[in-house]
Amino acid sequence: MPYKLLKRNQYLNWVGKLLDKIRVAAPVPKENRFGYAEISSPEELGYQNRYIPTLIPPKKYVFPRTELLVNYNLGDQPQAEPQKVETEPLALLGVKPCDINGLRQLDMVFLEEPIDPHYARRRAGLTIVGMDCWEPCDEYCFCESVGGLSVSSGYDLLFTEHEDDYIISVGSERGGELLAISDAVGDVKPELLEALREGQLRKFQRFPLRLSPDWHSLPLLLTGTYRSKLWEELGAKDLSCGACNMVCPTCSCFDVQDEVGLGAHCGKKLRRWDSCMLEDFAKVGSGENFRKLRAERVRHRILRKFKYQLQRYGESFCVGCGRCARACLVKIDPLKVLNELWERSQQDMPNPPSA
Amino acid sequence: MNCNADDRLYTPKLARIIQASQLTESERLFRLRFPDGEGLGHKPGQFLELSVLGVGEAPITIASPPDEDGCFEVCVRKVGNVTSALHRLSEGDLVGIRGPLGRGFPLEELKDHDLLFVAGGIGIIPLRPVIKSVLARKSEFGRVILFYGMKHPDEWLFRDEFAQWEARGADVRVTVDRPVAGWDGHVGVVTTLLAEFQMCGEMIASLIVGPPVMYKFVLLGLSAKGLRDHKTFLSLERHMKCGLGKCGHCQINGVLVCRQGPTFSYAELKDLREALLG
Ligand SMILES: Cc1cc2nc3c(=O)[nH]c(=O)nc-3n(C[C@H](O)[C@H](O)[C@H](O)COP(=O)(O)OP(=O)(O)OC[C@H]3O[C@@H](n4cnc5c(N)ncnc54)[C@H](O)[C@@H]3O)c2cc1C
Ligand code: SF4
Ligand code: SF4
Ligand code: FES
Repeated sequence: MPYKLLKRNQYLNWVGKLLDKIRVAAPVPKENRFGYAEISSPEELGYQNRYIPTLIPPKKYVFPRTELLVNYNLGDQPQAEPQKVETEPLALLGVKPCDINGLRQLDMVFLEEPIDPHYARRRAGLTIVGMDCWEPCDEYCFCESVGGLSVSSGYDLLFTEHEDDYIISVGSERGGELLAISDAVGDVKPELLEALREGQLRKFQRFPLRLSPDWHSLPLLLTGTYRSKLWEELGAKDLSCGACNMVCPTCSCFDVQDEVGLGAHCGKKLRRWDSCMLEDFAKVGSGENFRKLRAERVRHRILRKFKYQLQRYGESFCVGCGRCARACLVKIDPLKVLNELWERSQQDMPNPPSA
Repeated sequence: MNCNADDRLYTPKLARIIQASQLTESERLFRLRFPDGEGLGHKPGQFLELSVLGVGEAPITIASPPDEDGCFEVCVRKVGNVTSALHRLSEGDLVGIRGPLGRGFPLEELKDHDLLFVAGGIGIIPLRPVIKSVLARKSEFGRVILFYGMKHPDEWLFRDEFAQWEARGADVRVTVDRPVAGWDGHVGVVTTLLAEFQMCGEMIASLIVGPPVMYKFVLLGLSAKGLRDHKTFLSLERHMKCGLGKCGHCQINGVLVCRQGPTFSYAELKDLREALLG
């Protein structure tokens, strides 16, 4: 993968040039957090390379909270037509490794056959400009232990701070073109790349939150602890508010609803983010509810991330951004849940019979 | 980025109701047809997402066998929003159709087998297209037995067709859960019919559809009689919003019922703890 170099003090300058070419969205200060919003000048950025993950992940640009899918009318010539997705190309700036991976995982779900047309069109217009992390964000992020901190694909450009420079990994042709708009961009000396690699290997130790077992083994742990008492304990705390799902960069579930337009002869179908933590999520017409208990729904959320999707797609579908634990009023934290399951599984293990 | 997506993936195709008949107090049968005459091209066991435009969409089994001159049927029980709105529609009205969706029953693999159908309540709806398809080419299959259980005789669906099915060689037993004045047939839940069932060996397949509570007991009864798990098929009802493996509603453990099912062999479900209640 080709690398390029840009002086850090030239970054805003480059962003200014980028704004002449393409719509840009980036994390901007919002109350005391950061939130992704479109910017019209580089000065609005203000994230200075470090910020706690935004409240709402950047998935909103490819999978909006509410999206119009179909328009129909039942007049003289009744018809139902798909809503055309017309978005101008958009570049996302400052995307953290966890969010790059989150977007990549949404791609796996929505671009798998049958390809989701609305997602695909939005995604096609999206350029992802990442910003690598050197330090953990806060006491909630555990990206390193679930593979969320490592990015090898899923971006068009990835900026990594190195002393006074940004070393930029060019992930796509489109990324390369957008970099080329500035003549301040230069080549990287091999020594510098070497130094960067070494630094990156060392940085992993600076991320203190650890998952006790290796994430590859989680499906096994979660199979063995399916009937653990811990699920009931978590169920007793859980509020079924669904906040954890709303803020998660890899949650992809949705509801589809109809809305009637004026005159009742026309209307539309919309999809909205939905939450597997809500009581009615798995309820059916005959009245049965397949995950009636809170404990069952907490378990489903954890197993979906760390077992079902993991087995289907080969990676942990939690990227460790910590958003759900930050948002949860009762502090249900996936890392703590998994570590607790691990602890208990070790204690419950019977001793081998003595000879 | 791949944009070879089907833009109409979530867009229903409008179909016209050409006949609507009230089968019981709460179930209504609709015969539908696309204005352009195009067929559905479905397999027995597949379903549709059916829209009452302006109200919403619901997953509904295709109740008719393939190839009926471009017509197809759905039989719908009134339980909530969409299904009640559908019951208010009649001949000439339009509904929206997405599908066929999901996987049908593996009929071709069951040739030369004796087939045992066990239906509880509206579970007869997904089995009807299979029974009709099989009886239309009866010589390719062995014996055809149907056990049908319901709470009350008033709920008997497709009652007038049962005689035709018998005439075509099906062995049919019907039961109601509790004694009812005027009913002189078998009384007892559907599992009580299994007692008189005599068949064993590799060449028997069973297809079971009913309410979740029924599965456990019927499966137990059948496997006690030596029926093989990989030749026992069922259809699962789950909350389904997309029918395309995207929305997550229908998921049980690692399985997306809408795409990997809704029909499954019991062998595929045995280790899924959320598949069968209890
Ligand atoms: C594969 C499949 C095939 C089916 N085939 C038939 C059939 O042939 N005939 C028939 O009468 N019924 C069938 N059903 C059941 C039917 O889909 C539900 O009765 C219907 O969705 C209820 O919608 P509603 O708007 O009328 O109810 P609502 O007003 O939405 O609510 C009533 C109840 O239905 C539940 N529900 C809501 N949406 C769904 C949904 N999308 N899927 C399942 N449950 C839901 C709600 O949680 C609530 O408990 C089938 C279901 C599935 C999954
Ligand atoms: S945010 Fe916390 S309380 Fe709310 S549903 Fe999620 S786990 Fe439960
Ligand atoms: S489960 Fe929580 S920590 Fe993991 S990706 Fe989702 S929001 Fe982030
Ligand atoms: S119904 Fe949406 S995933 Fe199955």
